[in-house]
Amino acid sequence: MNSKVTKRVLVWLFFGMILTAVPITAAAVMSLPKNAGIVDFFELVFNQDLLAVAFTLSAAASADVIFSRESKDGGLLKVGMGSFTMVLAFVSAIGYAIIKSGDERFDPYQTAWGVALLYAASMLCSLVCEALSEL
Amino acid sequence: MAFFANNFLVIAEIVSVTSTVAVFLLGIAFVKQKRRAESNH
Repeated sequence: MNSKVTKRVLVWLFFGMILTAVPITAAAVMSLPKNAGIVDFFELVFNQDLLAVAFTLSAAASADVIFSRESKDGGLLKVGMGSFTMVLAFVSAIGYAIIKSGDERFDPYQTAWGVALLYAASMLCSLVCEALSEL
Repeated sequence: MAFFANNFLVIAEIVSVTSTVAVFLLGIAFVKQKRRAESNH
């Protein structure tokens, strides 16, 4: 495997993990006094701030893949990948804004699974985009 | 707004699955195209 691609993917994974740890750690610390020292896993997954992480990862990766100048061929495919990742970023951002505004009543079960799905998809798509931006 | 709140899980499912599949397929197509171009040179 291309060593540049491996390095890029590893750096991106590390960046993603650090970025993810911030809201999860904050939620865990804040839930401690409420739950008598026990951290509720559902409360961590139901953390809407993960949508902000998903937005950051997918938006940065889509910009990287669209504007990468590594190769001249396959530009349209790279733009396509970046566009689909950008859609993920938009939905994450809109979801985050609406959930945080608190105007609508969200079902916690729906929100938790939706957040987890969007986060997982953003992580996967951003990894693929970062890997292919080096090719 | 209300539509998004009521159907958040469905919207998240559709967008995340579609985008992930599309990005993987486009990525495979890109790698194949690049390999073909390198073998032609």
